[in-house]
Amino acid sequence: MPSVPRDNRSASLYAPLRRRMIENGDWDRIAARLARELNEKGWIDRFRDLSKETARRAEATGGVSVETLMTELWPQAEDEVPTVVRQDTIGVIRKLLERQIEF
Amino acid sequence: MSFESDTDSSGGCPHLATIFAHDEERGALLNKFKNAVQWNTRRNHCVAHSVKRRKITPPDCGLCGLALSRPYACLHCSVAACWTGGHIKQHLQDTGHDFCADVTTGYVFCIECDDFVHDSTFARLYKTTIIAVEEKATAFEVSKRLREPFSPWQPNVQEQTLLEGAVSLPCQGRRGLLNLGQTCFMNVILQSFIANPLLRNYYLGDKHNSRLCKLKDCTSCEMDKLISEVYSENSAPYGPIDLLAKTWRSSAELSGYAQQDAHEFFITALNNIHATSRGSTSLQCICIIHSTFAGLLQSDVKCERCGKVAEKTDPMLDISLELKGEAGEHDLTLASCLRRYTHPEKLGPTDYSCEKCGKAHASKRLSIRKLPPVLSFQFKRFEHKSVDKSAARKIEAPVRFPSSLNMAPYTTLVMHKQELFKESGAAPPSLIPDSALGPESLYDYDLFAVVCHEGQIDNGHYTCYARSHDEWYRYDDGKVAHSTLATCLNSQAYMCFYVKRHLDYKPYVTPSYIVMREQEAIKEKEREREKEAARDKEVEEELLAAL
Repeated sequence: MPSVPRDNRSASLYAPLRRRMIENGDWDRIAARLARELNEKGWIDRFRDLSKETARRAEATGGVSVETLMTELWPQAEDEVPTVVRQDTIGVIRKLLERQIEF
Repeated sequence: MSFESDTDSSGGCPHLATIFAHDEERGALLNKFKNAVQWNTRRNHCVAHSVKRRKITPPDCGLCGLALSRPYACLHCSVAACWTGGHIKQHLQDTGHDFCADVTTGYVFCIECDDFVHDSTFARLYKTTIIAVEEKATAFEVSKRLREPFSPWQPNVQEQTLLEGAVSLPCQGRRGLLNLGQTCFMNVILQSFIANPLLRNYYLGDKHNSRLCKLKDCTSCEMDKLISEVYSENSAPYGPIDLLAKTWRSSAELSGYAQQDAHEFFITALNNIHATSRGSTSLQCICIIHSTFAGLLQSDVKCERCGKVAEKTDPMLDISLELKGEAGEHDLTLASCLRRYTHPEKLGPTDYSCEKCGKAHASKRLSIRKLPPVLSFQFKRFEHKSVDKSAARKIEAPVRFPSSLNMAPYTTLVMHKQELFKESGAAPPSLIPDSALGPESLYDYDLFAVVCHEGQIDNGHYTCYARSHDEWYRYDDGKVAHSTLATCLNSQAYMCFYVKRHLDYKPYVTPSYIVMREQEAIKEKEREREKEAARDKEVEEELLAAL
């Protein structure tokens, strides 16, 4: 699950920054870019298949809810995000924020 | 999408069934859902194309107050909330409301079941809502007219009667194809045709009835028979003997029992079906093959000296991608092959003659001008070193390909717009830089068949994977086995077939051959009338002469 900002200044900046990013459309654009990069690396298909087959196997024992599936697979999904994609996305976000706030 | 609404039998959410039993409550629920999805689709469109950086206010979470990037809308009241932190679940628990929906995916969550629930009514409403919003937002370039709006098929009275009298047969729509002597190269292509939604629907829709067709050696009839055999109660492997015989008769190079190239058979089969299909013409053909597979490839040659660009378009039925020469041939992906395919290529001064400057350095760039509904890719694995086929080599390097592909970056119009942005120094705001180029989803394709080759060039075996709804199956001649997406994506692909997720229809225009036929019929009637009048006159004159 997304990490909560640590210090007080970060915490007070998070909500307005987030709002501005969503209003401007930057949030959606960065999210779409991330999805495209993850798709090219095969990450999306990997977890599409993994969650489907895990759910299929669980059918034999009464099935599994979407939430349980997500809790179970989230750590692995986060871990398998390719380093270059992670760094790339963080870089894009950083560049965007550098123009808007003083670090 | 079936026209019947299926009542949720066992396996569906019982709480949903309770609400659906009451028309007013059902209507209210569906209406809330539709509004939420509509709002989200419109917002996506605004966001993707707001060059003016217009602010679009997002909803706030009813619990934590944060701006929502992924709203979950309550289907009973106007509250929206985050999924993370259990905020929307909290709202449902506090208020006693049962359902909420993720506006992005349209997935519905039931608090009583404590899980997401599937219902075809919602799934269908989600799709039709999105399509309706997008249709209004995309206009054709030249005519400026809007797309033909989608409306689900409703049977008329005649059709209703026919359907009521029809007998339902159990049928899987999957059959293995017998190997008739090194014919696996043909079988894999036929399986890709069977799995092709547009081809399948054409023949299932009786558009080429083999029992009425009078053509000799008609390949289209063989396709009709093949589809009928597959969509029947018989699930035993089928031997396409007549089709093989017809192929031998029409293409001498494919005859004989030696191993052939599947891609060669693919192109030959397409040409044969085109030649025996109604409405086929040599230019701008609208036969089923060209309607399905034909796209336009554009090549822009830019003179380095004066900057003049010469544009030329060529029709294409598929895209063949080079594999050799890629850096190390490792980590190849379909996207990297396509980038290479559309990358500018330097032409030597002797290769090109500019209209203005004469012989000059130039660069040539390929792009896709028109995307076909079905995109076929071939990876050029077989490298012929010389005329003598036996000295050929096979490139074994695996290529990673996705189950969903967006073709926007490789299309002419998008590429041109992105070039303009690059020149102006500004970063393009999103994948599609101009709203006139349509929503992203117009460029989305889904994988439905993969042809694989194992072994050497002259001593190998073809198998294929094909998708049936959301399940993948592996076809090895007569053997059909249930498989998974991962197994398919990890195979060594030789050819991949993708189908456009949303078909965009031009405003309806009567096909020229029907117009001509009607004009001919009118002329024929005129001629008959004139003949009759002339005959009457003759009789009259004879009578007068006799008097």
